Amino acid sequence: MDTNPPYEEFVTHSEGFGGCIFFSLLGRDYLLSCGSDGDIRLLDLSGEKEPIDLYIGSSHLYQLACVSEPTAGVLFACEDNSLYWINLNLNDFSKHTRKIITRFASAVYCVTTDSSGRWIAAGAADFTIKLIPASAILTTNQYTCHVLDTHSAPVLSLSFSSDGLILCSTSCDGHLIVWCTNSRTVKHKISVLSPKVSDLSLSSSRLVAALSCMTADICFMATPQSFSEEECPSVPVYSSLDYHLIDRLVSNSTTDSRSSGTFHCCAWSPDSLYLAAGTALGHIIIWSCSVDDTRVIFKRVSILRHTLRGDIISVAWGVSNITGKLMLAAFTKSGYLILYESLELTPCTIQANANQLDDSLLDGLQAADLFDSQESHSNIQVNGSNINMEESSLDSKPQTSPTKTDRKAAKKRKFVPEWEEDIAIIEPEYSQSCSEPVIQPEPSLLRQESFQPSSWPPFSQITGSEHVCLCYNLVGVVISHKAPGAFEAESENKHFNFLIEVEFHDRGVHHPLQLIDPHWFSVGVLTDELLVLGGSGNRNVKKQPKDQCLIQVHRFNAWDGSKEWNAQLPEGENALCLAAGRDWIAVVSDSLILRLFGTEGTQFDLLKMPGYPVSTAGRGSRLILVYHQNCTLKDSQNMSYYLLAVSGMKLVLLAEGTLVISLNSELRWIGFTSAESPVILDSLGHLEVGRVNSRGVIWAPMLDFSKTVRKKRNTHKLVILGITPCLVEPTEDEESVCNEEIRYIVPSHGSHYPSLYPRPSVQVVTYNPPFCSVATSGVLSLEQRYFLSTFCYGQVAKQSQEELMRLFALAARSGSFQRALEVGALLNQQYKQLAITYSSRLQLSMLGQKMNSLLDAGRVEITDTAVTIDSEDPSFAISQAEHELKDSPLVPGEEIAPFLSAIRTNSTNRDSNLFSSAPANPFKNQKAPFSRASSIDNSFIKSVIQKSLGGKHTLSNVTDNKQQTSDLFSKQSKLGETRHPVKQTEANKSFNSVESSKPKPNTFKDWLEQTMPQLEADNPTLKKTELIQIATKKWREEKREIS
Amino acid sequence: MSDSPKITPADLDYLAMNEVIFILPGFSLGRITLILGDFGPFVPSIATKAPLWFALYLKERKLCQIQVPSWLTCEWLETKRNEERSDPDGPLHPIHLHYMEISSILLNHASDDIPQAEEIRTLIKDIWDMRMSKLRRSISIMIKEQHVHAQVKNISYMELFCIRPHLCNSLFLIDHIQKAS
Repeated sequence: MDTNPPYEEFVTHSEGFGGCIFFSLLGRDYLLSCGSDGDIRLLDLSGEKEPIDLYIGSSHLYQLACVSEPTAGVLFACEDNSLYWINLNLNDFSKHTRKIITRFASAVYCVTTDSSGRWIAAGAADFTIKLIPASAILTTNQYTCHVLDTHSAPVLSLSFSSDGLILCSTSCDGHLIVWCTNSRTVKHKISVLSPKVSDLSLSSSRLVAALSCMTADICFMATPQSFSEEECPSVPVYSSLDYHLIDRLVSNSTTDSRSSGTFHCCAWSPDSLYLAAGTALGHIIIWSCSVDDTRVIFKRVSILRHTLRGDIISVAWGVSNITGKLMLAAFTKSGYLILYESLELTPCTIQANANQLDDSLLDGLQAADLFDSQESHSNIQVNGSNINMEESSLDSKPQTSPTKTDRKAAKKRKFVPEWEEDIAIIEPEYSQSCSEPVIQPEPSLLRQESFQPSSWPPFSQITGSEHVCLCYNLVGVVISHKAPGAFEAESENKHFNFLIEVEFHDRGVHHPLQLIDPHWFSVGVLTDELLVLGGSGNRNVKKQPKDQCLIQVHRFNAWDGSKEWNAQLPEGENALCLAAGRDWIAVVSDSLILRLFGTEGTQFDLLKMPGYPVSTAGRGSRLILVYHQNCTLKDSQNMSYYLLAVSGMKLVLLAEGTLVISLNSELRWIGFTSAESPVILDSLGHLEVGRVNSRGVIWAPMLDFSKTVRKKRNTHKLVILGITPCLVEPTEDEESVCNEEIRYIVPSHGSHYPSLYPRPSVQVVTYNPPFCSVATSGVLSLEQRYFLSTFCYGQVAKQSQEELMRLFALAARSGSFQRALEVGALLNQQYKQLAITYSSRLQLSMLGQKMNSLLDAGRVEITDTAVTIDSEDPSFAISQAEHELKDSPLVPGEEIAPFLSAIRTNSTNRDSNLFSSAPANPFKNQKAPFSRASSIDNSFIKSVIQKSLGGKHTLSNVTDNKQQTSDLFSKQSKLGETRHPVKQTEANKSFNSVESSKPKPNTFKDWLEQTMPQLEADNPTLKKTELIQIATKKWREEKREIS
Repeated sequence: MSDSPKITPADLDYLAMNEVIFILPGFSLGRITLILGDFGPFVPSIATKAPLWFALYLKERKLCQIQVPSWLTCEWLETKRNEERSDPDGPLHPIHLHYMEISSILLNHASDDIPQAEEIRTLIKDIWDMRMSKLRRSISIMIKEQHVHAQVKNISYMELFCIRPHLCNSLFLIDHIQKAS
């Protein structure tokens, strides 16, 4: 029936409502409704239909039940955890007395009474059901209240059978439990829905159990489902005999059922002939139910449409006292009450149905032959009324049909097609209580998809966007525009033409480009010299297997004619990420292959990656690849990286390891600093910079964007353009320590990605490593400054040494001398002198002495890693080292070995300092030449030694006795354990002459020992004193000879 | 008639050009020294201050993108307009003294950098109309009641330029007539 029978509409609870029931008292019919505004309203159906306020409360009321004995009253379930009762005072409705029947631990969702008036049942969100004798209403004594707490989720609805022996309850945990009222035990448990939810608001349907009674034996339970495995919403009906799914009632034939929306509620008519269910789209669908000895058939009788009023949340039936006709009331979510006062329905009978082939879901026997997943009649044998219901289900069923119907029922649950009937379905036939797995696997994070750094996600993810940014970095912006196609292709879908627009930040690099993109490029990268685009196929039409991924490279400033070249990836591969460096291009494809091309198109290397690629970035001669090596963990993506050096058409693996990002975060951007150290940014806004050393990369957290960016929610959406050297060279002012800055853009309020038109303004920030106890943000502590200066300039640089001096001064002033000493040990010689002077000025003699000893140790101590560096030009040294060593990792200040060979080639005779950064290796072969000793130092040492030792003996002394030199400056030397032979430079000829001569005894005493035997042999008769006199004479003569 | 030097709207535009605004340069240049002061260094796509005349010069050559000053946005102008509208007989509310000139220059030369340019045009016109009507009304009151001196606050240069001939000439004529009689 398409036209609605006459009905009336009222607006009652405007805030939404809970439920409604019909009630008839003393020959008059009333309709009671309760709502979320806390009110109960009464509609007098016999007279003027004007809603009267029966009760005004404040908490949300969920359901009503009426009691007529002992006194007429209304029970209502309230959100304030109580079940109330008010009496109905017919003379004056507003005057009533309220009583709390029972209390729960959380909101009471449902209340019902059985038709005999003996029991009251109420269910609440604390998972319990309380069964209360109805006599408890009026007594003030204690009464026994039975608690049924089998459910594991809030109880949604309750229903008694007409004889009151069975209570049916449904809850959010998806189960329908049938209880025996007298014994309060669980008779049966049916799993109706699989996802378990714990909150009423999450379960979108009120999983209502509506019980009806057909005959004395059989009750039917109808539970509307909204999360059903099948796609069309239905109302499954179970039989209470064997808890067997009789039918799934749908509103229409299969093709149309979606139009009615999901079912929210259902109710049986009082005579159990009809079942009404309300849907989300405002339809009320009524089926009539007829049972005969063998079959139960449901037939859709009518659809009442109220699409304008919103979804129907509750329906109720009543029988008019006056007319004896059926009444139906339905409540909608928007607060409308639709009342049908006299509903004319024709019940269907089995005979009438047998020959009809309409679009109703049950067409008896014939449906079984077709593939009809809606086949819905079942054979139930009813052998009189004295059967134990459970046993009959096993014994008395006919052989084939239950299994067939069971299979079909099981099929319906699983949508196994008809022709697979013979495949055994291993499913429990009746009870579908799902068992929990014994071991719960830890849920792990979703694997991050591959992405191109500094780009927007592809079109498919941003709906409705007309343009997507393929690359937004320091060089420029590459935008792909979607324009409606000028032609319609053969396929149904409309093609889009894509236009690539390239705009450079610095117009001097190149003029803006506009390229037509017939290949639908999806990734791109832009450098100063080239634009690389990659993509395959049609984004709208399903990818043809023949579509090959194309890499297109445009070269700017090409001196030969070829401005553009293409490379096609092999079939089946798709380019996921691109990277470009000084003279190479890297393409990562989804078949885990990394391909390297030269800028002019020669392919020169391939690499198979150990896992699915996440991202890649390149700069200069460095390339970093991030991939998923393993499965993700509960709290981390568990990604690994390869750091490669690419130059001169060669690929070298520098380091590999696990990528260090914060827990529970994803990689957002990857790139390099201007010194080619890798940098990563994760979705929580933490920026980490890697320092490459011989064993791998160690990552240091350098910046936390969540503290910099004002709107914290944008930290995972900001797009880093790149890291460049600072705009302004850091001058002598205190503030700037870093020579690098990070440029990024932030999306404006409310949008997902930064807007492209107009261009967003670029924000700039420098490193701010999270050191402890920084007074205010923005002001760097001294330790931070030292860290940053070593990071940016190297440990040997002037800036770092100055920061160290500041730390030393701070420590010395504040009295922590040991700390000052530790810091002082890191200073180079020149600054150590300053430190000594400083400490002496502060009259810290102990500190001065210790610094002194450090000074000497540093002066004469030479290890393999000793090196002299021009203190005035540290960056020169670093750049020289970089230039010299292309293949070894560049380290800002960590390793000094690279400097050694570099500096050796640049002899500097200027003011140079001895410097040793690494502690002396005692096992090292100590024959390193002291090649860069400054002439000044040597000559100074020489002159001092000469003066102190009287000139004659000094020369030979210096060669192998370092003790004397240290004695000149301090009383003892703590660290000077390693002594090396000093190699002379050509400037010190006297040294050379000394070395060339034989080693002679230095003192008279030694000489005497040597010559004594000879003397004694010569002059045996002389006494010792005379011998000594002779010896002294000879000694003087010898010395005169030498000098 | 007065022999005061004739000032023209072009002169007012010229004076307004000294306004310093933010641009996103499309080139790189070090610090430059202008009469107005030091500007730069200019780095591509980093917002830098520059005088308006310089910005327009660059804009013509497509070397920069102009960032709209904060008072030339729809929201700010709407609040201004509502303020003026709510107070029809009151004083003039503070506004940028060169608002008329700068907005016309920017809308003519750099309208693609201004979001919602058309609404801004209408808003400026509305504000102009309201302010001019307030001025005219107060002038007529002043003349009728033969006040000797008046004080005006927050009058912008363009409004002053428009009012000056009326006021001066009319007062001159009144004086002439009074002397004659």
